[in-house]
Amino acid sequence: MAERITISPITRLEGHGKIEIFLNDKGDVEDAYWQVVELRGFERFCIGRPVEEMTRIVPNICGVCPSAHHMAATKALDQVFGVEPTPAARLIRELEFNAFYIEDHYIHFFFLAAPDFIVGPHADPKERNILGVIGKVGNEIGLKVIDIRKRNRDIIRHIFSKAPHPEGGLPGGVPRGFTEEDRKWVKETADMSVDFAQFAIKIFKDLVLGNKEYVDLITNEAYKLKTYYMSLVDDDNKVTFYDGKVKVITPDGKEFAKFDPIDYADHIGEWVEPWTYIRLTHLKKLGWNGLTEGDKTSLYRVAPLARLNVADGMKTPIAQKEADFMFEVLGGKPAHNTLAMHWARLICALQAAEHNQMIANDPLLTSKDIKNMNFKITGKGVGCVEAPRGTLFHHYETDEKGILTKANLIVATQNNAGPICMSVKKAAQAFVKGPDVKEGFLNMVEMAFRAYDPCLSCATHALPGEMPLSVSIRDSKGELIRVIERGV
Amino acid sequence: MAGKENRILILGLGNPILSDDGVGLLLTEKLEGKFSGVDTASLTLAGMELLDILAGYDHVFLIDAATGTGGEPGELKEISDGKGALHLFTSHGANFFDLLKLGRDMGLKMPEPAAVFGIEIGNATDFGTVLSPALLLALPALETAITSRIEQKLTAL
Repeated sequence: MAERITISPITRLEGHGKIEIFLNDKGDVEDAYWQVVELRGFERFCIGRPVEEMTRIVPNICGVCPSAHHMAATKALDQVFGVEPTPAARLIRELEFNAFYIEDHYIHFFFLAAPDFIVGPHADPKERNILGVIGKVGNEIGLKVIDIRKRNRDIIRHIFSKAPHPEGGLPGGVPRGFTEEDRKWVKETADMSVDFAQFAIKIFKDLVLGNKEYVDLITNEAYKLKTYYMSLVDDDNKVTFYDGKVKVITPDGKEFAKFDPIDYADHIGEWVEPWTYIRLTHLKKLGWNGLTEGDKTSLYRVAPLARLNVADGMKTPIAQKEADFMFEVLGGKPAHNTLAMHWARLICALQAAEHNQMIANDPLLTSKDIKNMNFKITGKGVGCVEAPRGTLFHHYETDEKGILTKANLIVATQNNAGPICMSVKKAAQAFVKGPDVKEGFLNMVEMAFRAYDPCLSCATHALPGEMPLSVSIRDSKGELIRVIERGV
Repeated sequence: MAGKENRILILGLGNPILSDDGVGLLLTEKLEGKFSGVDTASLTLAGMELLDILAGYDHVFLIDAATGTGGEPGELKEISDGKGALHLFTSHGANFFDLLKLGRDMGLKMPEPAAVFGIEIGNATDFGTVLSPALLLALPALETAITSRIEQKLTAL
């Protein structure tokens, strides 16, 4: 009798998703899908609005990464209005975007990912949360995370008026610059962020890499997926977050494509499947080859591990050292270990902090030349950033008055949607045997998609008893034979 | 928002591009400056993201869109357990009340909820930057009722 298991985290701000696992007659996993039901009609909602409103609208798309959408929109506005930001404005934007990376990556690692690795994947769910992490690492860790996030949010607030939902993005510049007096606290925040980044990596090394069971988990075949990888790189092919060229590598690490973000539609295809509202992205030149991995796949992955796989190296020295060590442990580049995304995430946060140290010492930071207002509407802009969850594209077109006639967004989780399905399937095949799935094994399936940090990852580490999870098991006729629920 | 020495916060939650979902934000903005020494914040946030924003306050008033409260769209409910409120029970890490406990367990000073105001919005989930007619008509009365209730509560705090 074929059966279906559904894992259904429920949310509102970030969309609504669930996992469906189909069992065959023997009780083994036959197939698995990660499904997302999105709020529909956003792009239609934008059409007819003045394009400059987009920097205030798009941060509300997602409760998790508002700064990424805000910055992509701001960069799209640069092109729509035909202006380059001044060098000082660009530097300040980079400062803000790095600050966002720092606040974003640590909430994911400590509050959502660390419970699996520091408390343990099979631990009682009542302890497998941030309080469990605090129990293992010490009370000060929570306060340190809060403090470092708050300090970096102050940078976002200073530049774009409101944090963590910035809304002051301007074409050609930034609304507010820095004084020499401000430089002191920016430098102090950057210094503290570098110290914290190294502290976080030390915790990872001590508590995760120091535990053979966890290292085995990270290198487990169930958590490997051989795909192409995509990320922004700078002129030196180094990891970059704010701006760069889009580079794609093959599953064995060779350069497959490198292009200007404005040409994204020539390289990225979108495929519609009946079981999900997400348009599944793939490499257009290879065509849609379904949910496959290895040589035949046309799927690519984005997010922290993809960044490190694609780039020739990190932009900053300490992050470079840490990246070298990571690839040494994982057996070289590219690494296909999905759970290593957490490790790569900490290294990206370190680069962001180190880069902000450099910016804090840059004389240009306090320049008054922060706006280029020589607008000439071009009618088209593609804003692209390397968002914390991966490469993000905002494509706007307008009429001659700057009224939106087209809006198309490709978000990081969309880039990863196909691979997430495959990662879930591989983990389910390894850990699910029959309908009587123990909670710990179910969690190990969830770990496969949590590593990508899709917005839904937030659904899975709520505090005791509140994790919204529904598991439905149906027979081959679709009749419900078992329901497991918690926090729904 | 003023400095945290005021120690009382009126927090509006919601999404301003989801029509009635944003009613809590609008009402909170209308209350800004009405009460001496009370901060206001209108945020498209929930869960863990609120932790450092709430830390340091003694009391918090919450204003949020709600569904399933049993009322008609535009009806105000004061909900002691917050049930029905749309952004207090997010999947992003922790529900609001657990978040307060988490903060305390971490050694942070966290506020006591002075009142949770839920405004029934029915099943409205459309994109939009304006309220539905029902909510638009109810807005002045909602502002008056919430103002009055906060005044009463402040006297007792």
